[in-house]
Amino acid sequence: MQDDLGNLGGQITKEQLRQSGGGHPPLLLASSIDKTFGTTKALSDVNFVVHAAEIVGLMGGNGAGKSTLAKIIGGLISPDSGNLVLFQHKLESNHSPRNAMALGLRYVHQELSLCKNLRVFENFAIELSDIVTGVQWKSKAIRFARDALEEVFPGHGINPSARVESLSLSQQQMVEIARAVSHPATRLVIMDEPTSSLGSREADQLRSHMKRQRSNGMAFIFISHRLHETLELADRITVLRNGKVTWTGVTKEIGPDALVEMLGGRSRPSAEADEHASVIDSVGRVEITLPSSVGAALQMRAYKGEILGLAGLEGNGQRQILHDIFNAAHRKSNKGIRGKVSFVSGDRAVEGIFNLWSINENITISCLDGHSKSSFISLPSLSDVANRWVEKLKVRAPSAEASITSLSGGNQQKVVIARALASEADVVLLDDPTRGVDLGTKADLYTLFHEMAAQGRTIIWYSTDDSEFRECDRTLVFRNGAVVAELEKTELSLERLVEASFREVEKEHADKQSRVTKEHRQSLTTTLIPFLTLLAVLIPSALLNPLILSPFGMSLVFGAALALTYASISQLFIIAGGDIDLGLGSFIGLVNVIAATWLVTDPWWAALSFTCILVAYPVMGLFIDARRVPAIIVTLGLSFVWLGLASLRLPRPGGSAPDWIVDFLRIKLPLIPVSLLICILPAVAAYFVLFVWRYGTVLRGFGASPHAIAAAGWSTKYAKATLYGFAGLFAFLAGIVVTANTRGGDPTGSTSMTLLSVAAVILGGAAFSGGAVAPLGALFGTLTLVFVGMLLSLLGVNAVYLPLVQGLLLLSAVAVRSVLATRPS
Amino acid sequence: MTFLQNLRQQPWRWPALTSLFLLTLVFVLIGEFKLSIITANLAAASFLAMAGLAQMFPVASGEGGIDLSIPFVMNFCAFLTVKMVTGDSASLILLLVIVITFGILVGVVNGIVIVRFQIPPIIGTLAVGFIVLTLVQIISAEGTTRVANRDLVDVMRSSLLGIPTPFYGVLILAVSAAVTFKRTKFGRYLLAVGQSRRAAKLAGVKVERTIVWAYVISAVLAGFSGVALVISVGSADLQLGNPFLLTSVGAVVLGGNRISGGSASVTGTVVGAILLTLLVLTVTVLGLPIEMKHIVTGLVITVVLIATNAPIMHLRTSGKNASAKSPT
Repeated sequence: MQDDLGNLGGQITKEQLRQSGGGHPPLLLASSIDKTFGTTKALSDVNFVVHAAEIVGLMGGNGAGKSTLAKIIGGLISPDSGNLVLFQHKLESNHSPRNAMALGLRYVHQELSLCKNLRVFENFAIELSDIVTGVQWKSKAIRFARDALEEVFPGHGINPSARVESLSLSQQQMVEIARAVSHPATRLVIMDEPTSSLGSREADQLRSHMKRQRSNGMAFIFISHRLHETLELADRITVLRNGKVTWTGVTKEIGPDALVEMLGGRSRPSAEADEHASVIDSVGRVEITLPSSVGAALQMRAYKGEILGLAGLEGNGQRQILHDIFNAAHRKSNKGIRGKVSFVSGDRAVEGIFNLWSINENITISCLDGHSKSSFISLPSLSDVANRWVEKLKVRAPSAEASITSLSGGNQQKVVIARALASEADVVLLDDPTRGVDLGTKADLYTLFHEMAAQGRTIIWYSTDDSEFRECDRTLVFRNGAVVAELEKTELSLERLVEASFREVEKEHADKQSRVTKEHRQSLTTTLIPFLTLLAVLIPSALLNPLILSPFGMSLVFGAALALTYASISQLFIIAGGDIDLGLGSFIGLVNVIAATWLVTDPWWAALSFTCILVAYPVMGLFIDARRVPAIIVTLGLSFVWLGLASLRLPRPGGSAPDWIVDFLRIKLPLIPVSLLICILPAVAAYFVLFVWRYGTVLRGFGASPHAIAAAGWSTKYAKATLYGFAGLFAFLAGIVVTANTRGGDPTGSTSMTLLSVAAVILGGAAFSGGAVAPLGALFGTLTLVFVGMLLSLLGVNAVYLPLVQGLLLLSAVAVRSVLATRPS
Repeated sequence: MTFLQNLRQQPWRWPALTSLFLLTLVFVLIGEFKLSIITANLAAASFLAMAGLAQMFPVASGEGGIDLSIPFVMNFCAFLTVKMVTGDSASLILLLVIVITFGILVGVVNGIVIVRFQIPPIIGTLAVGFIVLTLVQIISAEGTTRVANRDLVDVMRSSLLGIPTPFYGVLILAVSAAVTFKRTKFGRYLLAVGQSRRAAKLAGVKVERTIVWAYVISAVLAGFSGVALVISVGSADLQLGNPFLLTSVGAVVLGGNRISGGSASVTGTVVGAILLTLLVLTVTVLGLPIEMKHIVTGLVITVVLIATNAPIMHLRTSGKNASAKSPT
């Protein structure tokens, strides 16, 4: 192993070691890395080295392979071949994000990996589990978060207790960066476009922090599209082009012009090129003017019969503009875009093909309206259409009836394009249509696009392959959501494109204040609204019958809600994981029946069966997680199993309750009715589990963003099983309470609790998406649902209206919340 | 393509084979072949098949599409039948008009709640179900629960050519549903929406409108099922439709439809309904306690679901970051 290392180091780094000159040991050695995606060679024979106390800039244009290399180092994808040595550990198939993190590598992703439903300090806590420990973990984490942020971004103004989703994008990026660099074990940080959403002040702060850390021995891999930034920061720069290292060397040896040249641009940008580019032939050919809603920065026009290219580095607003055009055209009040617009996406798997369908069905889905006026379709004529296009586009398939998934990527893309053409669209939007398509098919597609334009259609073409803009009549270059250059076909060259793509544009900074109101509103919905709803029900009841507020009245009133509070907390744990338990009521019935029979006669049998069914819950969670089946169906199916088991034990309501359970509920305390305490207990317990216990943070984070939790090194299986385990425990307690209340068993007696518990948790302010639950809110929700029944009877309203009122309560609660959530801030 | 090759591609081949097996088992156990058993079983399966066809539309719409208001709608229409159907046939026609109107109403509310308020179908249809439940309790509060027109009951319980009357109803609805999926624009749009909402939207499909229609059809078919069920049973009660909450989903799952949406096998759903009914029959014939039928039904549906639903990762839409996955 040691020999191996020595050889490896010797082979690849002789030259590079000399260049770095620092004499520091290499933290990372990547040698002869190859990676192929489909037909695209993403990386070929890449050597890359990082030493301690060094910032290495990684540069390249679109598709150069920067992110692929970073992901390989971070353990997110594995290389086809090559060696990777990180901190003297040779990495093979065992490399994973978790492993990389354990070794001291942190990766600041382009797309953030924070749990947005959690607070800032909680996000620190889930990743720094070895530091933030003990009973006082919260205050430790808050202090740690504040210090870490202060360290990197002095005067950051971020409240460590704020929810991440309430922060601006720039603030989220700051949290992500601070979290990555603050861990004491961190020795190497990959920063993938860390400054892309930061303001200029924060970017400066980050750069000076990185320099400080460098002198402490920390190393950085810095990926940025901002030239001056990399030139200022990096000790060495590695330039990638088409998956190959084209240059690697000390920053001092290269200037900005030479660097642009390396990247594939030309050295001297000429400013006048853009001025005369926007001469417009105005003979009534205007087809599209974008509505002002899209943004004043974008005055974009496209003409009939024109191929308009949208260029620039990825993620600078090109794709957004395509979607804006498409949405604007399909809105009823469509202004500015005339004619039919169709969309061809290069992300075939997600937004292109319908993979259960044949080629025929995939092509004709967009032309059904044009093809017949009635609601019916004529299969033979659709076949004709499909066959015609399959032939015309030379789709390589046995017939138009073949399954779409039997085709190669390029041919699938032809089918998606055929769909757009068959719909007789006037404007065709192309979203990187040749991604992952082989060269031969690419040439076919280019010819096709020219034919389409020749027929008078407008083609708007976004590509990540700069060479494709040679096919365009006109090309707009995007930078930070604005058009920074407009190039006619005659003046287009790769050099100009690269030069314009990397042009520095100062971005307007997002307003930080705009998000604050949202945070406020959120806490309002999760705790205050359920409480106010409860008061709105309770106060009129108390006015109608003041006895309710007497100790005896209270114990009656809360006694009625007792079992449901436990059921609701059980449901709350399932909803926290993003699922819904439709078997809860039957499960409570089963516990009830066992308690009313075996617990009285054969306690050992009862103990055994209770143990079995308590284990069943986490196991159910594991199955749901492993097979990715919808929890509602699994729990619905199992509800029949619980019901069947309960009915087998006790076909008819009957049995009795063990005395000690009944006596327990009869305990009298001075002043406070004991049923009130027992009511509140589960909510308080759930609060402790989810909001005070450190692992509870992980559980909530898992509910909303399992990927972020996995990225922080936690097992998602364990989290799911834990949530289901707690749900089973509280469902069990609910069954015991039912037994004590009713002094007997009834297999079907508790079935109504399934739906009521869901309603209670949702009324209590939980979100369906998981992670966002409020135990106290769920308690208020439960009480509201129960008290509504009481209020109705006090008002002399027939009890049959109870479900109506409960249903309307639930609907209005979610409707109000959805209106609040969508209201622009 | 030969018949056998064709058969091999059908999603309902396994439930069909299992049904045949169970039927054979039943005949072996009782020691003789009785056509009346098949007829009785078909009759019992009819109402489930109708409810299953209803459930198939929301499930086909994908992303957790499910209609939990089906049993409540069935109960409501059952009591409506009891109230409205007298001796003459005009009352029957009026009943059907009201059932359809009611179904459209419930379906539109379900659809709007799901599409406009972005509420998960399970919660939205549940809340709407609560509201329908109240209507059921109001309508059932007074008067008889017995179907007045006993001739109608007799017709519903009889059979023609060995096929029970309600199953003719199933055949009509199944053919209509099959035509909807195979020969109408709506059917194509619904399957597109169920496979990928993002792709459907970009292909120009009116996604929201399509989803609302799926729930409308579901509620109308559930109403028909309730009417047929109550006429066959002879009297209505508050729990009449409740078992169909699970079994309607069960028929869809066992019929080889993807629970994640985008596929619809009408034959499969009908065969799934027959299979579920046969399971209960087998439990009875085996001499097991009747409570075992719950356990068997629940386990079979759960196991089949877990066994057949392999994860389909690439259909999971990931929103804005869709492009982030691909390497650069």
